[in-house]
Amino acid sequence: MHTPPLSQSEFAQMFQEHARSLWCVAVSVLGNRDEAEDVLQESALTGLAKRQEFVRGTSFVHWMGQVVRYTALNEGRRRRIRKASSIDGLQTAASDGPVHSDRSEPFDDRVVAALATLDETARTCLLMRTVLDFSYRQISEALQIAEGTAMSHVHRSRMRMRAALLAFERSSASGHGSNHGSGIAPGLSSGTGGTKHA
Amino acid sequence: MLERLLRDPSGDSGGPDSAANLGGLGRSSAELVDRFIDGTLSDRERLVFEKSLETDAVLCEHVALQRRVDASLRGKLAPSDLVLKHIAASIVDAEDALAPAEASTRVILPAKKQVNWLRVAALVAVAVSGYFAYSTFLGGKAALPKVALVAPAVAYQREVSEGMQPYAVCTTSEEFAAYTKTQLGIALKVRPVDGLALIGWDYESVFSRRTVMLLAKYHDKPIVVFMDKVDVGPDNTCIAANEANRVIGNVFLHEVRAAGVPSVLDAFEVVK
Repeated sequence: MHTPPLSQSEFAQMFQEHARSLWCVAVSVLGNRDEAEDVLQESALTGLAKRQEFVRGTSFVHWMGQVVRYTALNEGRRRRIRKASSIDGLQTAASDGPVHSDRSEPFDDRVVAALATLDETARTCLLMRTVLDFSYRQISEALQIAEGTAMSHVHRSRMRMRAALLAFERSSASGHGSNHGSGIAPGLSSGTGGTKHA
Repeated sequence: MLERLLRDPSGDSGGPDSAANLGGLGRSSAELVDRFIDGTLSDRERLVFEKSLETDAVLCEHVALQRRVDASLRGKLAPSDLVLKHIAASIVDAEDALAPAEASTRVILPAKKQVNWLRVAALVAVAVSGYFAYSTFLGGKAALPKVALVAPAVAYQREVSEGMQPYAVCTTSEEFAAYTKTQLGIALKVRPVDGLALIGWDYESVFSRRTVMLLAKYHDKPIVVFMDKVDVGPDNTCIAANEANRVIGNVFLHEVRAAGVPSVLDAFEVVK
């Protein structure tokens, strides 16, 4: 279908309207606020250059979400390569694998690590619900998934995160520092979960 | 009734969401926790749930933990609306990469007029290339089309006459750092200086189209700090008495201030 491309100002307006949803897509891939900001800015320019591919009447946030997601995944990949090519990175890469959170790790970091164990779509749903206060209808519209699916993702994600964090806290309380078996892993850019939400 | 509402023996099936894996809570109870957090329990369910919170330590632990997790996620990963607004604003300022493609989709004029336009375009092309040839080979500076830039002193006067009205305001040092990181690629902060009050940010095409201006006052006297990437910053040998320059990383800072106001550029620091 051929539709006239969005003008620059139309694109800017739509981007601004959906910026929070797009932010969630970026941060659910990268798990880091600063990197998500950079990726969102880069995606904005990429989307602007490609806006003739957007078909009017379809979901802007869905289309733009794909741009953000691929940009974020590329950034994650670049970041891993940079890490691996540095000496420190080699040491880090060598210790990759299931992660053992330290008992002294702040709660916030453990939460982000627990978040990383979730499927990417589940992460996005959870962040949209929790961080943006989106209704399940808004999540379903943004990610083009059924409302019930969004709800299910959020509930399962919460349960899994609570279970992982409780297991960690209880093992800490009983004197076992690490969280073997709880599945807490760092970073979110592993690209886990093949479900394309955007 | 409480047991029927909150405890579902069938929820503990030994699967991945079994009670053991859910921290001792049955699946139905875990769902009730979420619905309680979401505020989607019916009045009756909520009353029963709240009552049971008084006696059920496990349930209580889950609710408290979920609230902590939510607060943590919001604190750690919530977007800065200010940053989002500026990312959207940067789209408006960006070069229109699609312009040639848009031109190709425009309505095609009748053949006769199209030929005329082609002639005009050819003449323009000859004139432009002639200009570049003149610039390059006859001593002129290699000139590329530039946006109209405003001198810092002019931009300063404009801001002062308009009452130093910011386009955006950072309310915390974190927001300030996030803003400079997004706009300039480096997280900065301003060390507290007695009498110095930061007002907010504005834009102006000073060194480039992306120059940001930090508006501030020192004992009610205006200061404007222009900030841009160092590679577009001006030659720093020609500055007036009420101006100062500083480079931090790859960021160029140029300050214009009212008479009698000391420079505040030393107060800028990189956020580690």
